[in-house]
Amino acid sequence: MMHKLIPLPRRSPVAPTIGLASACLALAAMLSSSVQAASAGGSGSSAPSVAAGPAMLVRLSPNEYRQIVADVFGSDIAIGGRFAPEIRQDGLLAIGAGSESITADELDQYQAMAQSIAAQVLDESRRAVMVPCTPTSATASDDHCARNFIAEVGELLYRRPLTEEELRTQIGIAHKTAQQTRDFYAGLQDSLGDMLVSPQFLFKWYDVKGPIKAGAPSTLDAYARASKLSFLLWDSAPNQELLDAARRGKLNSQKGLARQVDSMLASPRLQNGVRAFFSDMLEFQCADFPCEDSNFVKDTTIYPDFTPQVAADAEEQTLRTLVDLLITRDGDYRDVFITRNTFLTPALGAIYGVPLPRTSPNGEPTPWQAYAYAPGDPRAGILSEISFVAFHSHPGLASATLRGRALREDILCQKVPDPPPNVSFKLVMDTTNPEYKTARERLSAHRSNPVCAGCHRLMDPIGLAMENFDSDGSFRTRENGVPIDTSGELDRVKFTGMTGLGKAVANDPAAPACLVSRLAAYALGRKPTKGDSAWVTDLKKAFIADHYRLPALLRQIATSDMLYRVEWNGATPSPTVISTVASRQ
Amino acid sequence: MHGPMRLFKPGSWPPLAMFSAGAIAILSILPAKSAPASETRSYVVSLFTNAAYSTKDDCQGGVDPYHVQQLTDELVALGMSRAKAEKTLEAYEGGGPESAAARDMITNRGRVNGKPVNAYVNPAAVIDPKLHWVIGRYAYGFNLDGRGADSPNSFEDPVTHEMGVNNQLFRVFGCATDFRGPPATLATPSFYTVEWSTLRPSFPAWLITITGDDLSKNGPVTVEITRSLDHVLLNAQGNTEPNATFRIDPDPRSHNVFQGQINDGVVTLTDHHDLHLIGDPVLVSRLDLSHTHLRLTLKPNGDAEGIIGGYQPWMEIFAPIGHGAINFEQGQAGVDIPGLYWALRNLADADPDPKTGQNQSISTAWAIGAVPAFIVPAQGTAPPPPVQLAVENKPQRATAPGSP
Repeated sequence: MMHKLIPLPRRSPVAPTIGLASACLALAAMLSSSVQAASAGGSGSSAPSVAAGPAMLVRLSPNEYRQIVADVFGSDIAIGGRFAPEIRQDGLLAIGAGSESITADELDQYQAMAQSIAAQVLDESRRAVMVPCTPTSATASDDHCARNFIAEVGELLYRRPLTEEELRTQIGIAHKTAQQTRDFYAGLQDSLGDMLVSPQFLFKWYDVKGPIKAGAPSTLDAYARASKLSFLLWDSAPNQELLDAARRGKLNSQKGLARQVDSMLASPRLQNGVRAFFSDMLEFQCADFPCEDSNFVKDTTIYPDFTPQVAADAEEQTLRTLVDLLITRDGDYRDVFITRNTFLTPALGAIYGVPLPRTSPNGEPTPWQAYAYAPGDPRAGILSEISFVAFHSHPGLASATLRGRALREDILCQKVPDPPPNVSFKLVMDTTNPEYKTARERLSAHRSNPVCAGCHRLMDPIGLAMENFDSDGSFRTRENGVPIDTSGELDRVKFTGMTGLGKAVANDPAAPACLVSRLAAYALGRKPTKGDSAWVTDLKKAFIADHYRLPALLRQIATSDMLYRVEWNGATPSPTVISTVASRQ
Repeated sequence: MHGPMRLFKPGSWPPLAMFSAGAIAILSILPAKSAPASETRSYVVSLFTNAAYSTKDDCQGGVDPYHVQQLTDELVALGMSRAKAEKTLEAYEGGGPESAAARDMITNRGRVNGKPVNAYVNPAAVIDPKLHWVIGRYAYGFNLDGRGADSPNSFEDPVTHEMGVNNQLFRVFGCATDFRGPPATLATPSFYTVEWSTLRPSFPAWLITITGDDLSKNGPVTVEITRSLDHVLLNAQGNTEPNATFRIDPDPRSHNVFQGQINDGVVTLTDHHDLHLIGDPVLVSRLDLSHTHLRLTLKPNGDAEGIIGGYQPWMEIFAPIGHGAINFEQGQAGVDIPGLYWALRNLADADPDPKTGQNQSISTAWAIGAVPAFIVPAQGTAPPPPVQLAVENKPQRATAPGSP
């Protein structure tokens, strides 16, 4: 086992000190810089040290943090803090997470959350369930009972067994606080709070099995494999069963790995993993932290019916649609662009203009209802949902360009260049110009500028096909009194309207290929490199052979050696060095 | 901004994979005598307030005085010195330690056999403070008694210019600041508007469905006015969200079907039987109208607005305001509650009590607004039977004593 010790400077058992914060900051900064240097494809890294394999140190995402706390301590534990916006890199937050450090403000938040969580876990109402032993005295230290608790919980938080030194350190904290406060549980609370702000918890560590040498591929150790699997498939830390499998070496053989993956794919927790991946791919973090071109910010003077509830439900609608089609029904991925099956709430029904009676008493949350658009309905597929058409619009105006760009970049993995800095959008944004009453007319005039024409040719022909949907996602047939022309074209395939566009995307090989590339990058935690290209190509072929089934693709990735292979090119500090340096902090 | 006008033509309803049966059921509950239905527009009531067409100098003696003066006068009428009455009001308004005692004094300003009683529970025990009454020419409403311009104490409707409009409720409310409306004020009467807006997400919605051959043309229509099991949703501006879905309350007490006519986009009723709607106990506990009239304009943006009126038991109007007691009197409504009681009682113009001769109903007109909605039967319930048409000829209505 190659996991490294990181004996952090300890705060006072009773109150946090500046020492811990500064130490953590220093560590976080070091980790960040090391990770940036080490991660293949990382921005600013001219000579990546890791030639293949996953990112070695990755900060927990907010959702992973929440999910781990819920899994380990129960879903009724309030997090009681806020998370900083994540960083998107190469189209995914999962890649950006490998470059994230922790700022002083974020550390304050982690500290506050840790103390709040620890206090709830060791609260009188929960301690009997949470603590696996009864102390000899509730008003004194009990190192034996403390060890039981710390070892059990620590393994779930650190995603591996604690080393003896780590255990002694945490028991020492519990002991000292218990003695000072004459409260055994206060000691456990302090020790747990300490673990929750440790880098071993806040960062995903992917340690390597055995020594690593330049040019010689190595592989992740068993616990790192367990973490890799669990975060990919369940968006959370490994559970005890998976850790036990790692302990018994069952993840080191292909047969054992496959058996474990199959078990995980059959778990209801797979939905968490799938939701996390598509939330990342579809930029849904921009719902919480509005991004420039993707957000649910609406001018409520123009769109008064777009409520916060609509925004919250819109994201959930798409995730439910995807999970239902891809996991529950084990459907063809391409069908997500044409499916007429979805889920709605009354708030969404009001925007979509469809009848959706309540099924619960007034004042209570309304259960989601399965809904099927009728044949001939202009809506079909996730591109017609509010989470796409409203998400990629201006606050006061629908945008064929933003929608077209999002489709190219998020769904087809085709990069659209940013607009030139000095370009004027006045003509496009002016909906009162009597000469250009529709978006098609305005964009046509805008494209007369040759600087703009090239990129707009990529975006507008597909975006204009979605013009039947206003900025709030409601259906319309006219703009400024003029009938809307929704004819469009995607790479020489002509169509009309959203349903035509959905079919064109579903039939475009770029769509499933993009999913494979994105999922491979998501699993690796970095952009696939040249060395990964053969693997990604094989994944694409397998996806086609498996009739575009997502569980099959996940299985291919999760059981692939490439997911766990680490290759150091010797140019910068090796992954082992990173961990060792971290441990010295 | 609302979307395009919703035209729920059978066969061209929005996708109804789940609810097509509901659409059919809605049509099936239409009375048999209605014309073959080919177009239906459905609405949820988004605004309900007293219909007020207030004009400058339309109040005899001006608008009612500020409540402090009104209450001071009432305490003086009870025999209190003006100085003490003013001090009592000052103490109440100041909210200090003496406020509670002053509040009790104000609350118990009624007298029964010389003993203090709660003025809001026993408004008749308070000497009539004589609220000011409207004496203007105009009022929204309808010619309820059928006597036209010959109807005593009647108004002229400012929109239709119909003469003989019976709306004594406007005469009662029209001089209280919080019940006055445009053109004398900028906004609709604030009391009902604000209270309705505040309460509407928490009580079952009222629904209106208009059905006819072609609602873009003049012709007969069927008008259903019902209550929902569901509350309204609010949009981002705090207004009623259009295009939400409402289940019809199967309780037959709130199911009303009228025959009507649409002319130039304005729906009116051609039969005028009773209407019964259960409402919110805090504000409009019931809406019970006889000789029901409606004038509803279907607006191009898909909304609807207009007035509904008839003769209504005046205790039904007084009770929710009276129960609001001192909070309504000096806060939201800003009207002297015993004074309101006396005004309603004195201006009531219909349904005399056979024994006392006291009129029990008052002519009313209420302003309503509505936004498009989907209306479906409650699942698992049978469509409510239409209310039997009431006898057209009501007993002769009396003229209220004391009318101007």
